[in-house]
Amino acid sequence: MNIVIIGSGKFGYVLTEQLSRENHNVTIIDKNGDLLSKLQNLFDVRTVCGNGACRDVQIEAETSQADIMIAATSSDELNILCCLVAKKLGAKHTIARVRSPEYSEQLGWMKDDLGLSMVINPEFSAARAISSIIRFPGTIKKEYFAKGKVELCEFKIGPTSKLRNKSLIELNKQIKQQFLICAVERKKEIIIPQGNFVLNDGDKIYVTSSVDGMAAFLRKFEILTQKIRSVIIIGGSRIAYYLSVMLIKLGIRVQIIELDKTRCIELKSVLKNSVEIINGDGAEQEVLREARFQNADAIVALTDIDEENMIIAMYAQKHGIRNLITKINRRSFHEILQNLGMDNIIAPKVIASAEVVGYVRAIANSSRGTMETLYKLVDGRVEGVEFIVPDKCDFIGVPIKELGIRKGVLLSSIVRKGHVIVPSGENVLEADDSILVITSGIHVNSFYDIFE
Amino acid sequence: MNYKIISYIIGYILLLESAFMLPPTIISLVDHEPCYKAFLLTIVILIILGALLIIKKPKSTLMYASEGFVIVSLSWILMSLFGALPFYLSREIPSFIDAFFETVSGFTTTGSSILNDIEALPNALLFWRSFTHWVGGMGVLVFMLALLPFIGGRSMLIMRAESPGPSVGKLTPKMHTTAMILYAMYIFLTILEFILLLCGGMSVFDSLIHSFGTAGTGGFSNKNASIAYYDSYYIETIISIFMVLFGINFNVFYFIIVKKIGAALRSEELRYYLAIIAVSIALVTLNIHELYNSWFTSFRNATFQVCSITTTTGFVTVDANTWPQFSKSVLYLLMAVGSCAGSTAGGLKVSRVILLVKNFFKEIKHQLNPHSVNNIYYDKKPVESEVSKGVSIYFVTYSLILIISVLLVSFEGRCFETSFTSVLSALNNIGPCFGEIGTMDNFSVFSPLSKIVLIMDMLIGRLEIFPVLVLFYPKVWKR
Repeated sequence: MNIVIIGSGKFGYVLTEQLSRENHNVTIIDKNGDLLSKLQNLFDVRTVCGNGACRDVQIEAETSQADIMIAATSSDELNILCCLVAKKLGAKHTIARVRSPEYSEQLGWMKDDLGLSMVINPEFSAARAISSIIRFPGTIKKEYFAKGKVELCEFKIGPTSKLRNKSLIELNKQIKQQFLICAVERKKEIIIPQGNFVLNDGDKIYVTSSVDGMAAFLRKFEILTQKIRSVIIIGGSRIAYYLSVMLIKLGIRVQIIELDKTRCIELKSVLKNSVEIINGDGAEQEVLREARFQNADAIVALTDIDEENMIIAMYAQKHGIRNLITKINRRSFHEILQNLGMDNIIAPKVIASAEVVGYVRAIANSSRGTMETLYKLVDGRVEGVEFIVPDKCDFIGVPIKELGIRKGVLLSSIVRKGHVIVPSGENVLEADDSILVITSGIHVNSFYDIFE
Repeated sequence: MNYKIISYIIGYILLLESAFMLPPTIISLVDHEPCYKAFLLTIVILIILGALLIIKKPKSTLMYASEGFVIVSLSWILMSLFGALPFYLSREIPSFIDAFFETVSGFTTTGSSILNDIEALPNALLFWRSFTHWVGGMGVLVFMLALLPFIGGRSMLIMRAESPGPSVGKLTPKMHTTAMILYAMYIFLTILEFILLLCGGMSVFDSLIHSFGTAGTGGFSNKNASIAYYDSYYIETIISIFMVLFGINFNVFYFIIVKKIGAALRSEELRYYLAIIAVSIALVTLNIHELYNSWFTSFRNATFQVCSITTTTGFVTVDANTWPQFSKSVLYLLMAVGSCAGSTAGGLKVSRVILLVKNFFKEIKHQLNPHSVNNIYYDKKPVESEVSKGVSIYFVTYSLILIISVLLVSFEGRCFETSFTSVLSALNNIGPCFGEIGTMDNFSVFSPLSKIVLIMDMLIGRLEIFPVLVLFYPKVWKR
């Protein structure tokens, strides 16, 4: 597909990397020629130097032939303008990054009247991801498929876990409800496990089940240890704002520590009395102690500086706080934190780019075997993809074990008429089934990619 | 340095070269020439070596600028070394340095020859000689990028190292498509010239040879007298037109194909290029009139020679060495300037010269008014300082290499004009020399040292200096 990306900053970079790898024709527009040469040296893309909102520049980048135009500059207004121009020139779909909370209320209008196909708010998406981690502590990440019927949970097996040293078959016997452990990350390798696979301490596992099945699973194996009642957020960024709003609705006590007094006043005026705002440097031990951070159930480090977030998280960990969520933009730091045992890392750009890539893939395959959602795990090495089984295809009615599903692809759940089925080899596929497929290392773009 | 990816790509280049050697091998078998043994042996060696290098696909295809440069210069050197084997093993060129010289002259599209009697060579070798022009003109790495899209994102590093010009860009987002389009246009123009030459009465073999020579702007002919042999105004005109065409930036042709004719014709480089040719033809015609006494003959010879030298091809119709000094000096200047970037021609490139001159005027304005801020524009867009700086540094390096090479070549004691023009010819990939050695003579009389210097200059000129110089920088090779 022909894709034009405007803006080669951090978000644009992550998008370019992902989309050029999926073999699309990518053109990047940016004002900065040096950044463009760097990108051209790394990826098989074309670059155009200029102001993306200018019609001439977009014509040079052949926007009229573009299937998708993604505006990823640092200015919301510029992004919207770029999309308007692109739409007029004939781009089929336009995606704009709009982060300011002021515009978030009029998103619906923007999409309908201004012709935007999708609006990305990385901060909002990040806040949503953090909020789901806070709602279910002990799990690292959670995602929903099939309109909320199927849950995919990611969590780590610790030294005291009840799942340790058990094989998958044994675990299945212990609990009535059905679940499927669809992927295991052990020492950086991804394994799609068979029944006799034994779980070890330190493994990260991905489990799918129905909502009830998951709750039972978490209860049985005592994974849900505590409920989080109070959260301290360090750094009064946009993410902090969106997150606070979400957490307040859940009845969780929120404190925000922010260095800039003006920002504190701004936050207070929008959040009012529901949130306690503290003016201070969240990286300072004194400030944290004054806020009684050791009594908090969870700490979320959201300052603008990756290194400060890391230090805050490490300090909190030393004082026994187990639920730590850190915002880290630089990928190279993720590994360091993971080695220190802090797995809850939020990278807003990656989350946002996964949303965009999912949308792109859906458009690329809108004709056959539609893909509904895309979920990336483990730095993109494992993907969860949802499909609707099309009518009249050869794979309907054939037992799963005879379907010839590719290696590295696992059919982890089927939702049929509202009921969740965790499939065994004997189940068959029916038309209109919503299936969830977990893949490792293979891109599955359409329904037919699942099979040999 | 990622040695594994370097050797992997070189493996593919060697295999490609063995495929390129198939046509001449077939010719030698059909014509019952004994040199077929030399070709077959070389092909076998290339296949074995190539296969050994590509057996293990490297785990990491990470490449940076240094790998890009090394891949290009090493492949060209190895390609030339193995390409010389058919000449050497068949004993047609007994000295290996001579065989290497002839092959490098072929691939770099220079066109200087060490052969005393070209016509004595068997057809297969004559074909191979000219085919190296065709392959080297558009670039062998570009050919590989068109065929094998496995390099992925970093392919730009390779293309930038092999393609000439101050700033190399792509026609389409994907490198693979860009390379295919370039070669498609290249093949189309070659075939067009081939047909037109056939219509002019040239034999099939001769038309092929000279189309190769024009397309790569190389200049090898299979006749000792070069184009003078045919004494046909039609043939000279066709070849002149196509020489000029192959000296144009191929991006212009692409714009014409996608119907952006306005953008194509507005190219500053194209306008200056054609202007330079027109003005030079006028000046030279006027100047050599005293020699030929006929306006038509003067025009005819001036046109062909100017087109040939500007496009760095090197075909000759008369010995321009006999021309008055002014015309010769105009020709030397044309040799240095060369043709457009993004074409198969050599020289500094018209776009660089334009930027250098504009830079010069900007500097004068700055000197006169130190606080003023000035900008230079190219094709109506402001020029980035990186590009400006790059062009100035390129020119300085080029001049230094020119000076050092002239010093080394003059060691054997020839007159200045000879030493100077032989180096100028090699560095800009033109072909003919002036001075003691006329434009219709050959380079066999040079000493081995001079030949080696000229070989280096030819490679440095074609690959635009830095890929070759990088090989001599010790830090590049450290692990």
